[in-house]
Amino acid sequence: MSRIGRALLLLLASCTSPPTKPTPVWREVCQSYQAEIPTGWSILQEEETLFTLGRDRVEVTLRLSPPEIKDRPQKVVLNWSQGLNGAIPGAIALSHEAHNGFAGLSLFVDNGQSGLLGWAMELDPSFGQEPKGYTVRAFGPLSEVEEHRLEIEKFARSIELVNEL
Amino acid sequence: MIRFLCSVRFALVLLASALGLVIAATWIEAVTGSHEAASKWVYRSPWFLAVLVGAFINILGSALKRWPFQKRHIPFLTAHLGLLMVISGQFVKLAFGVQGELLLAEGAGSHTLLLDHHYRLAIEDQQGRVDLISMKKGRGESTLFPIELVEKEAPPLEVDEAKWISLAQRVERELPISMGGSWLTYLKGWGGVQGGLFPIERPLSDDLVAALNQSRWELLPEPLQATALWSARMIADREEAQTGPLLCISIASQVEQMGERLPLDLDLSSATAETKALLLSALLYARGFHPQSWAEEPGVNPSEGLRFFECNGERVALSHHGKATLLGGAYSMRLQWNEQEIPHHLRLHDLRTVCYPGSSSPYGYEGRFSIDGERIELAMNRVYESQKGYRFYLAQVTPVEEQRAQRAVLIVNRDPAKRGLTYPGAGLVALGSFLFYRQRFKRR
Repeated sequence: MSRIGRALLLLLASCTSPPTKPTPVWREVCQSYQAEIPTGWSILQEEETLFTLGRDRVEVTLRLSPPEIKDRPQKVVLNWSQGLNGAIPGAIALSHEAHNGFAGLSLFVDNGQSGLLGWAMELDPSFGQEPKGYTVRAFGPLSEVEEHRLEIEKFARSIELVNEL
Repeated sequence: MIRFLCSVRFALVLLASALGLVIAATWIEAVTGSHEAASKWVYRSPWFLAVLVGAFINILGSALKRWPFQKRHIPFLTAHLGLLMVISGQFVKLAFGVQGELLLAEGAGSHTLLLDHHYRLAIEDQQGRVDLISMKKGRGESTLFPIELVEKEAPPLEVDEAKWISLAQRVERELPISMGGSWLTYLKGWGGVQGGLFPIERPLSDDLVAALNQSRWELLPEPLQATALWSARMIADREEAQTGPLLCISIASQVEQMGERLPLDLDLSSATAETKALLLSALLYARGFHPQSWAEEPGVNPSEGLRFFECNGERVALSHHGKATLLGGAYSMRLQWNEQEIPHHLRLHDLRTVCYPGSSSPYGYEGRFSIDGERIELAMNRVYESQKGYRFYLAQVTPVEEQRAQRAVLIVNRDPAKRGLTYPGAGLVALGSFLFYRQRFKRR
């Protein structure tokens, strides 16, 4: 067999099957919502308006806002950042987010030991539907929150109503 | 005559014509910045169609001239058959293809296309009476109102103007305070400033003063009025610190969150024109608008799809999704697109603006969608093609900032001839060319 033939054979023999992506697990949460559950996380609590995931020492809680209370995202994230004792003001990162028809604020705050990732979202009023909203709060040791940050963000951005707007 | 139609001379004439038309289209696109203009003037023009028909006749004739066919004609005939298939594919696409726009908001779904180039104009008066006008040969007349419309070509070298007009229409939809047609003057006056509130150092034009004095602030909810007032005060406090537009947007949008609790200690309706100009700029920041950043936004070319009309002598520009006021605000006009349902249902989940690494300058957009329940991702250069041959391009995302639910414009098209005629035709052309050169090589 020629050198080129052997090289081709080696190339073909060394190719394995294409890398398979883990199939995302979509799950109904809090009745009328659904979300993509990150792999390796376990469900700690599941109620009508509450859904909690956990991994290592990080807990992620999705909580539906009561319809009669207008939870302004600004107020929610302010409470969170104040609630984290000893938070360094410079370590607070606040930004606007919009996904799946909801708009609000996201926040990352840490005090050196603990980290908090949060989202406070409200249904965009332009849809003309009754007010809906939810909050997502991920809390744990700073190093673990940072390690799982991308998974938590992906989970938070995937939360949506089962039915289309 | 038939001999000429089948001749090389006619083929050369056609080639030169096609070349000239393509050069013209490229020039039009470069000058106007609009692919739509090039498409309208060249690719969908009777001239281009005539060149295609001529090419079809010429190729068919030159192939049939070889009758009776011999073995040595195989490469020539293969390539010519391929060319005929490619040209036929274009005719089939023109006759039966689908091209349109799908408009989606995050969280919502649709399976209805707005068809390109198929529209009527909806004219509405202040009592809510609506008349639909079909344009024939670029002209239309209302049966209800004393209005005559003439469609005008997009003026060349006015891309910037088109952007301003389109922005003015967006702002008019967002803030219905009856500024008449003066939003454009207002935005242009403000747009030259890098951040900060509307500049009132120079005297305002008479038109703008009149429009600001007539603006009806009482139409806005009180929390929004309070947002305008307190945002303007907070931004004004920082003026000396060279407040950039993003910081102004951030201040105003945070004030808006507290708008319900802020006191409204000034009657905005009776404020001076200068004060109203300042307050409007603060309010626009709260809504994520800033003309400077918007005009520099890459990837969005609002002159695409912008149509120009003359209404009783007055020039009006109208965007795809916009509304324009006519004759001093007595009427409004919008495009009423013809619709077509497609056999796929799309839902938009999430849109994101992708920025250059380490900066906040956007270079593209990406979005998560589901089509008939299957999750897909689209980006500016990532197109999805369904099994039924529908192609989906992510064309536009508004607003760029994630301050409220974003909206996407998808360009959808279907070329029914692509798999049956165009691609196999191109393959035959390649095969014919290969056989032709092989034959010549063997002869030597």
